Amino acid sequence: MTLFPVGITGGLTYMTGAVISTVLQIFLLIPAVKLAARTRKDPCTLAFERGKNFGRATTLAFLLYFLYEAFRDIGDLAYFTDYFFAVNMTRIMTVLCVVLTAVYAARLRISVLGRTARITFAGVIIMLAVIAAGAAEDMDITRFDYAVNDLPAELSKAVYAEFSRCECLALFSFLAADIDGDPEKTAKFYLIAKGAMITLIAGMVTSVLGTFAFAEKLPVFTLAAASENLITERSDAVFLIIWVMTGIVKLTTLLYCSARCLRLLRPKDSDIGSVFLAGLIPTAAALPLLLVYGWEKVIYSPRPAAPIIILGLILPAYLLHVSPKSAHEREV
Amino acid sequence: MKNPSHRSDRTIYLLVTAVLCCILLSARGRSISIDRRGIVHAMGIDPCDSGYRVSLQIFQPAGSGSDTAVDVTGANVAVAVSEGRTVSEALSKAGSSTGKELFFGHLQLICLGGDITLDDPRKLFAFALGGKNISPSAELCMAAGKAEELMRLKLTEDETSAEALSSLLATSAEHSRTLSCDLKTLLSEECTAAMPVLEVISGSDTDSSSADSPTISESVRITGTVVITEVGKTMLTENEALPAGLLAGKADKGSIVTDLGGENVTCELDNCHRHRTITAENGKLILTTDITLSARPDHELDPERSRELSTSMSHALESGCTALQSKMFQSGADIFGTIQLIKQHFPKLWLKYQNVPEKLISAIDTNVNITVKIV
Amino acid sequence: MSEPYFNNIKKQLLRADLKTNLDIINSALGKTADLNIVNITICKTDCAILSIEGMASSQLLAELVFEPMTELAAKDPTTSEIIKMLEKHSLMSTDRQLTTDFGTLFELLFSGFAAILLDGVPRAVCLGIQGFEKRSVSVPEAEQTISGARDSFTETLRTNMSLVRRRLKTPALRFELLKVGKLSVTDICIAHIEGRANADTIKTIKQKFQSIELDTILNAGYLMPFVDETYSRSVFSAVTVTERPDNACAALNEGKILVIIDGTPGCMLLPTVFADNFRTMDDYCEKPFYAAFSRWIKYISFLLAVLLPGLYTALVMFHPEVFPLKLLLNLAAAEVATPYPPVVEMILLMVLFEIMREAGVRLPRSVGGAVSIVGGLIIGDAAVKSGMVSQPLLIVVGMTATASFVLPSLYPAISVLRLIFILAGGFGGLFGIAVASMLLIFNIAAVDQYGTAFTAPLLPLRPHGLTDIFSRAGFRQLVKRHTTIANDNSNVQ
Repeated sequence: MTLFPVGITGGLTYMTGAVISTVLQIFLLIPAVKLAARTRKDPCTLAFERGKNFGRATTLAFLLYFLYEAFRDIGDLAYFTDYFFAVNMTRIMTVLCVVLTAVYAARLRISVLGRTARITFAGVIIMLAVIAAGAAEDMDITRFDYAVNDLPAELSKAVYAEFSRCECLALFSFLAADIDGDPEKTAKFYLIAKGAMITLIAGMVTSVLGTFAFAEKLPVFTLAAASENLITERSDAVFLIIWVMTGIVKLTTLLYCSARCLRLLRPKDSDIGSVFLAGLIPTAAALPLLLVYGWEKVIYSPRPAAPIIILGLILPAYLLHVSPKSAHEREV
Repeated sequence: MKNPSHRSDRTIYLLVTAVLCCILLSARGRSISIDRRGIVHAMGIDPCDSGYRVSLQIFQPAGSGSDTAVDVTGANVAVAVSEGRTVSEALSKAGSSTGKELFFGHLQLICLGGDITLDDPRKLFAFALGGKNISPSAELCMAAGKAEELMRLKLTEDETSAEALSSLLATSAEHSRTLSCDLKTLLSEECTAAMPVLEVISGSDTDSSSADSPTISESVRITGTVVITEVGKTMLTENEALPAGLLAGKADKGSIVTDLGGENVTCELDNCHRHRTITAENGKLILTTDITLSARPDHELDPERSRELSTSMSHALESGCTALQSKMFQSGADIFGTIQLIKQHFPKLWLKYQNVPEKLISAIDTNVNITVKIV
Repeated sequence: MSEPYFNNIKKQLLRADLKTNLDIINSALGKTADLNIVNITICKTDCAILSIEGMASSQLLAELVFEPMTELAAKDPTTSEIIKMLEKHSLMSTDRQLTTDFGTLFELLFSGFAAILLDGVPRAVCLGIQGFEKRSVSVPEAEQTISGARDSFTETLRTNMSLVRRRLKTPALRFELLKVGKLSVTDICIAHIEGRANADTIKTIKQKFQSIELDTILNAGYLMPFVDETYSRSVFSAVTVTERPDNACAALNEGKILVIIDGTPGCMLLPTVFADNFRTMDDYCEKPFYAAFSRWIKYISFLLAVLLPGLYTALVMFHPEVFPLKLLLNLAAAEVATPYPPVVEMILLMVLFEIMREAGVRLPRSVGGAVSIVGGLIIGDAAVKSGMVSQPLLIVVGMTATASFVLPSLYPAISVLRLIFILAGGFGGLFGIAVASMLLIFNIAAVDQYGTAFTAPLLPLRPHGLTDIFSRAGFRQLVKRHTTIANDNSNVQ
């Protein structure tokens, strides 16, 4: 959570929106997890089984969305890393660092990415604990308020803003079939954990910084900078490390999924070739904007929610409707 | 034909090597080693004809002849002064003049000159927002005269002058002799800014030849707490500092002298807790502040006398707090975070008076209840 | 004699004619000086007793071979009686093998057997009377413990097998012997507990050993690339080498496979997980609370050894705001006097340290003390006083070095990773550290050996093995057999 969505003016409003959005996402993901539990195949493979053109269209839709998200992730990593550092970090080298690392990792199995994601998640917990411990003295519960002009409208804006940042729904829809165990349970745990994290982070920022959070470009970074503990004067270094790590994990997952889509569209491609291509396309798109210092336009541009709804809900629901029931479901 | 496994291994090695090369080139060798940085501990901002005059206290280590890296008998600072139309411009010029890359990551204290206006804090402190690594926890204070005078003081109590000044401010705030203020409190606009006022004691020698000798108590003192509103500045006396601390919830400790049947009893205060409730009755807002604290008298008292002391002290503190609260609210200054409380409990009301909060707080009825436990 | 000819000889069968056999043997071995042939005639039957100098015990040869045969000669037996006696009715050795081809004959001769050839009999009777010089069981050098056993594996395969058998007196303990190496024909023993180790894994390992085309197998390192599937891609090895029989037995109990190699005291354990590097036998000799404390000290030492120099360099060069003010001022003042940037100082000191460590390992013991003097006085004291390096940096290097010695099995990986992190931190700051950390985590997470993830039992989560990772489970819990590896038989009772 690098920054609050554009247009959000109240911390508590955003937290409430995040909780509502999480509940909506749990319901939204039901068709995808049921599809995964029934067929144990990803939507693209199922679409190809229905028809070649349908399969191609579905795969292309997923691919384009993943590449778009990878483009944004790459740009954000490079832009904000440059911002965090006192010295000028070369954007092209920063981009190459993260993309090559993601390419190195995206050729591995999904179980490896899952393990790494869990280790990184543990790092996030530790980071939040360190920041919270250091900023606990400055927390003030009176900073939580619903003082906005039109509360329902602001809440809707917060829900929409939070929802449109949830590319994880499309990822989940694509990867649910690869989950060991029950995809439904895993989906619920994942969304609840994510919602809890976002709410916690927003809560910490609001309770410590109050309206100052909205004056700063990067409120979580500012919160970390204000957090002092016995060993370090500031905790923004911890935040920086964890932030880069989580960004790389997200980019790796996106490239992995993009490479899989590419291999479905072009089966002759090798694993490493498809991963390279998946990394090359968003890099080539992001670099020009970064080098001409035009990335700010992208940061503050709204994210579309329609692809998430299509890929995370409509498509899996349709495939679920047309796919034959499993033997277990028929017995039940 | 090459083994595909070997090809794959070679690709992996190349990838990893490429990542490491990119890391090596990412900063293009423009990292600045710690010894080439000018570590700024404190800065003073004064208005001047050309805009702002900025004075910076920069760490200056002892020469290689000393036994320790930092000479604890010296002041270890150098002062750089520059002017500019904005504070940011002045800081850039200061960096150029010192020949070092100024580092603000450890900026502990920002001192504002007595003449400075704070009608737009975010504009004044634009240099601290979004860059320069300045911590939002940097302390703020005001100088009775020029901030530059304070910056030119070379104190030797701690390793640097700024540390000594920060310690003075922190201890004073802890003992409720003033109210502390940091950058995020000022810029969050949650309450009216109130910050300590420091005065350089005239006659103290700041000449570099005796720079190692002046002690902090001989050089500087806290004259009070300044409350800065749009209208102007109000000074809180030292007697008002304790009630201000109690009402703002910032008091940790304190001391008070109570007249107990003709005898002056001095008590050390501790464990100060504040609980506030705000309600609306008959169209009026009523703010109730309940404060509990423990007091340790300087000599043993029997239970009867202790009860009397507790009652007497409570009354004295309540009247002081009530008077201060009324004074502040009447002048439209909210140094207690009351607006924030209203915003939380009555958001619609706050929205209505968002642009004129002084009208809102001037209409509040206040109740202060103080319970003193004699230990 | 060129190798192909030798290979042809190996497959040839023994002749009935003794002289022909001896000619072929002399020709194949190039009349090697260590081949002893004793020709005797027992009642018109020519016999030859072959042995290799230094491999067969002279005393046993005299007691178990010469003496019985001399006694036999007094009874005037026929050729068939002699061979019948040797093959069926005598107890001249615990290990008696009959061979009909030259290849097996040579292997047995070089393994310390004595071979008896009879004229008119196209086979040899080989008696195991090994008497080669071997090192006795001694204290382990590389894996020292405070309270654990004091014996270690030796270079002799059979001795090592007995050290394991002594500790696991279960009929389920199996030893399977293989020979690997075209020239060395090294004996390899695969040990496992039937029903605990995964049968598919054992089969796969055997196949891999049998497919090895190397000429010589001189230590475990020769075999590792063949059994470690991620050998060339992973920083850490998924195969552990141990010289402790107690360690080996504990691993066998968990369902792991032990590979004993003749000629080297280091035995391989696989599959291993990352957490195994932090477990020692001392943990099971102490109370759980101390074992847990000790375990965490090792984890912290690992992190310090790998990350501390890189983090220090990154913070000093890019993020000094993290340091508390007093520390920062002292660091700044210390660095003022030094000519090089901190990253260069750190790399120089680390390289110097590695040079001294390597010198300390190679030097004879009598001169080894000189390394300490050189290191301590010249590097430590003089370098700081001359202003070449700063004191805080030296403290960091000292702490790192000490931390890395806590985990000797991980030392190779730690040394290399440390340098990488120093470069990453020195040139890329915390961004570089983060990227390098991600590469490392991906590298560790990607290691999957024989169905067991290297990050097991943490990821994927296996609760029954987890207690032994973060602490030492009490023995009541250990009664329910725990294992860190995944196999079908890892059921908790």
